[in-house]
Amino acid sequence: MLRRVLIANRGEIACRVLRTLKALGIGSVAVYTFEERNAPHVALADEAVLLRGAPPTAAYLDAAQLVEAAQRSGADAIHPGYGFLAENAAFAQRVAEAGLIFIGPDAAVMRLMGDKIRAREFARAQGVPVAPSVLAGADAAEFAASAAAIGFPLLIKAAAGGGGKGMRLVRATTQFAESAQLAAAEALRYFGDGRIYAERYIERPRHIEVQVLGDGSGRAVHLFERECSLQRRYQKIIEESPAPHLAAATRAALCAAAVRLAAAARYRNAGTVEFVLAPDGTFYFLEMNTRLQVEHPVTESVLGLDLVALQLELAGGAALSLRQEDLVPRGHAIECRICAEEPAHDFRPATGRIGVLRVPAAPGVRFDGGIAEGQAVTPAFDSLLAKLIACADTRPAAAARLQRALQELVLLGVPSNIDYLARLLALPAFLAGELHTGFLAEHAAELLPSADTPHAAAAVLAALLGDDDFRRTAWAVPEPHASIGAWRN
Amino acid sequence: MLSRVYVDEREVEVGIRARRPQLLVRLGERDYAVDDFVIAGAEFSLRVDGQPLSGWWYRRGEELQIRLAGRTYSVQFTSHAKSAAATARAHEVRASMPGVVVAVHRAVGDVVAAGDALLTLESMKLQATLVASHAARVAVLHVAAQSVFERGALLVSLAAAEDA
Amino acid sequence: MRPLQSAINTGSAEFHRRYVHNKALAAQLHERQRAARQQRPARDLERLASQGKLLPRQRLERLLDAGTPFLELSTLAAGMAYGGESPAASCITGIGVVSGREVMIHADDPTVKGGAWYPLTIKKMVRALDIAIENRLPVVHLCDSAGGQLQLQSALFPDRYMAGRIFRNQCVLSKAGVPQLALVFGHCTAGGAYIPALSDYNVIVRGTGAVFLGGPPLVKAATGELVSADELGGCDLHTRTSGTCDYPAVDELEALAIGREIVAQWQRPQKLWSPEQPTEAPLLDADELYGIIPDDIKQTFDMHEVIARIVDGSRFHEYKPAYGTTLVCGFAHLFGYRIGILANNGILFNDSAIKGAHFIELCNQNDTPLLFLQNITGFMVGREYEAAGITKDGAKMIMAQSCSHVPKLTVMCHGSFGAGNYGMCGRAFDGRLLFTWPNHQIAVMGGEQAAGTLVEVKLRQLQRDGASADPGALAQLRAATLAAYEEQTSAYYSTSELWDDGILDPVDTRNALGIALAAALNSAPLARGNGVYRF
Repeated sequence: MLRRVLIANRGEIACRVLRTLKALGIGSVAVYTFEERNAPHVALADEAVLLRGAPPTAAYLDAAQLVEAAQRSGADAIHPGYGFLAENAAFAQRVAEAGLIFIGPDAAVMRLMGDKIRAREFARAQGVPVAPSVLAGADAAEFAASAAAIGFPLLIKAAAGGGGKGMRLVRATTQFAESAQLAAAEALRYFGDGRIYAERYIERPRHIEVQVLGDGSGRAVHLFERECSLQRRYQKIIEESPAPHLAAATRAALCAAAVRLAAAARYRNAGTVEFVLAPDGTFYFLEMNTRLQVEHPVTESVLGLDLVALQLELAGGAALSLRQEDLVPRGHAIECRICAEEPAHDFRPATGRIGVLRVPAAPGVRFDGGIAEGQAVTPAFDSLLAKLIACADTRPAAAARLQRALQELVLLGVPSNIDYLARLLALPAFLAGELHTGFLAEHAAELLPSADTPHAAAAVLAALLGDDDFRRTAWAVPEPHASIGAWRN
Repeated sequence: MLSRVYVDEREVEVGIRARRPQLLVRLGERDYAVDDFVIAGAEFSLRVDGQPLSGWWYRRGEELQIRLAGRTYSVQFTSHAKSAAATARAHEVRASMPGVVVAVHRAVGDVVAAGDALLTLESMKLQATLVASHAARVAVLHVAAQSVFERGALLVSLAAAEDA
Repeated sequence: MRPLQSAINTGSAEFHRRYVHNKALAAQLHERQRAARQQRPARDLERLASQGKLLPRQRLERLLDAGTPFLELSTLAAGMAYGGESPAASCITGIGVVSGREVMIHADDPTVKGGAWYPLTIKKMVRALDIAIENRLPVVHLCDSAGGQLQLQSALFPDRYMAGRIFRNQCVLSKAGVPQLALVFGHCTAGGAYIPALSDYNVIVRGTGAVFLGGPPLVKAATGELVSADELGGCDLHTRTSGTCDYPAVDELEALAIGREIVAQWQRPQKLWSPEQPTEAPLLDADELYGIIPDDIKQTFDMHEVIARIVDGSRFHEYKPAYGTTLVCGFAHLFGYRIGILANNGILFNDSAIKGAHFIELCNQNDTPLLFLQNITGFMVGREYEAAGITKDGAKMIMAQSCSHVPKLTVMCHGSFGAGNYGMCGRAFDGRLLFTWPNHQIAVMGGEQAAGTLVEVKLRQLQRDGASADPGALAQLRAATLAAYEEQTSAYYSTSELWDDGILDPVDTRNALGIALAAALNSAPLARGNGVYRF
């Protein structure tokens, strides 16, 4: 059993992990940079260690500092959260070499799944369908020819990375060479590895992923699927479980493939296998994420589980206690990501200070945040502020519950996408479940805010009266002038 | 002189039509009767044309954010007097006392943000650091370390930060 | 207090005739005011626009609080002078509300000969500052003037109440603790430079604003130095080097915004007295005044009808109603403030004069401001009345009125002739504000009476000399006198000469008096006391 865990992360996920640690009575250590010394995760932990780093993100990428912090604080394990070094095999190895437990899979599996090309090969070997693809070799012309043989449209992707970086959609041969060059350069810049491959691109694909857990012995279970098709520039906006309009056979096949993969890799701890689902029901392996994902709460909601607790249990060396037949999902859960951004300005990241925060408390509503009133929101870190999750018996009920919660949520001081998300959840197309990765772009016009709401005038009036100068002008005029009004002789 | 506000970046003309028997505010084309305005902490309530409403507010400089009926509005005030600060932002940084330059912290071409140190000066046995009053680009340095200057001397010339 | 009942028959031929007549007079007033305010040569308007300047009335509207009244004074000053060269005497003065404070505003009008000051401009400005001193009103100057009209310098420079009085008044205001703000939109030359310099605060617009004792032409003539207005006395020189000006403004809108912020810092005055009760609109319709005012200066009308259409709820508590009935005296409320009213229902007799004196004493005892509604052709003359001491009784009324410590307001509703003007608080008696109606006439005596008197005097002179009377010459004398009187007794002549603070449309009287009264109550209490009454 783990005694003291250092969370090598910040914000929402740090608070999330800390919550489970506290519930289980396990000691906790937080890390933070000077700018975030008043952040909620710092106060929540039993101990907090100040990190040095410029820019601040560098601190969370500094393996040496993190390991040292763990050792000095007497932690016996490190939870990497997501992002930062969560999928960094070298970090996992270093943690292990320091005699600490890395709460996640072992470095070898991370390296395997981190290399997109190796991962694909491994998946294919386990009978998991993969999209036809071809690796770029030294000869650009040969690459172009083989790619063309797969058929357009194609997606050029980086072998060493994800998240949309080093990725290019190519629809015609004429664009191929230039796209390949740009993709390779971007991959090199972001991941230090310029290898690229070209893969069949599915039109109107759905992004379905399957949560898996393994204990490293070859035993693995799946925790069913999540629908993550609503994305903008490869960033997920809304996730849900179960995936709507998914044939039972397809679901079964997806989950079975994911388990097969995890078992074959002797996967330990939590992971997610991502698939691309075509409109005709065929699916292809995309990649495996060897970490806890942002959207894990929807799985927790429909299964009534605490995934972080399971991670801790598995990291402590326990065998997998769950049996596949015992896992029965109930109801429907939807999560939306609340980000500091301005939808009206192409979702550019916004900064500010959390002036007012009021979280709705309602049955079936869960708020996972890492923010508090008074906290500064800077460009130093990514724009995810919190997640709002709603769970109900049916999908429409969950959507309605989530929309209501968004309307009751008050977050002022930094622009956010809260109202945009509320509009999205009310879209007929969303409620009909007609989801695919191009959904947000396709419905962009319908998602624009209406200029004249019934309360726009009231809002302006409230704002005016909240201004001291206006209030004085309105109410400080003496008598009889106030009674006489705008008179001229 | 609050004659215009920007609501979610749309311009709305504001006027006060009457104060008795109720406050009548003109927004754009319409008049609205307003009363019972109460602010308690971050919450407010008011009645507009008789209808009671309540919500949340937060002030961020010239912007007021209002959350009302499940929607957040950004209201920006314009005040002509604010450009007083702009006119005071000299593009010339001059010495208010005679003295000596102790250190020059920037080079020509550097882009500085408001508050960035430009020079450290010594006058009358006191050292002071001159900082940029606004975002700008250092165009000309008229002095160097050890330079002696008179009161009113031009020390640094700044240019608009957008000039590349 | 019960409301007055109206005895007017609005259906009568007399009412209708009077209504048409007075409505036309009101229309004429509005048209002449409109012309004085707005009619300018296109060339002058274009010149201002090309300089990036706002018109003076645009500046005014942006300075004032939205939705508040502005009581403009002496709009038709200089209307019958200088061949009409100086509409509104080239400036705007009035009482308005800025940032919630009552202020006196004075604005140069650069659309009239560059805003140059005529003798009547000076008189209007001095009057505005006198009102500010007496009523403790802060002043906002909107400066944009080419300076004094040099050709008329002898009438605007040397004497006691000419240009120097402006600056003396500014100093007196400052000493009294009443703040002044000057917004420099254009040139402030020579004496004009002292307006911002003597103001407690001033703002100057970069590029167009300039303050200098001698402008570029004068400097060149005096020393040969060639220098531009901006170099000589512009914004940057005065806000950075000389310190003559306090706030630089990048444009006129900014100057006005800064000005409003400055006024917002000023203390709110404590009014001398508060309203006793809530405001109540008159029950009777002010529009009916047009049908009540006679179309002949020799005719009278019942002042109760006027009072009923001015005061709160038309309520009036009449004092001594059965005695001295040619002078109506009583208490009423105006926008909630208690006032004492004296109004003429005929000429003044012994009894009305002493009733008036007594009532004025009562108002002073009771700290009640006085409102005089004039329609007076004079005191009664004749041996019987002299024997009864009419002169003494008139003197007592004048003494009581002059020694009042309470604020006084006057409206000349019809005639204001002779000594009756004195007892009823004419111009010379330091009322805080004095207004007239378009039908008003003022003279030492009526034109007919004057012509008759002069002809009579001439006849006696001819008799003494033993010459014969030439009927033609006498008729000419009569006609000439009448013509002169007709021109010089009219309300327009009076207002042109600034013998009053403006002609009001009768229906505007209530609002004007309300603003005037509120302004008057900013002042510190005056000393109580009387002179010696001749009993």
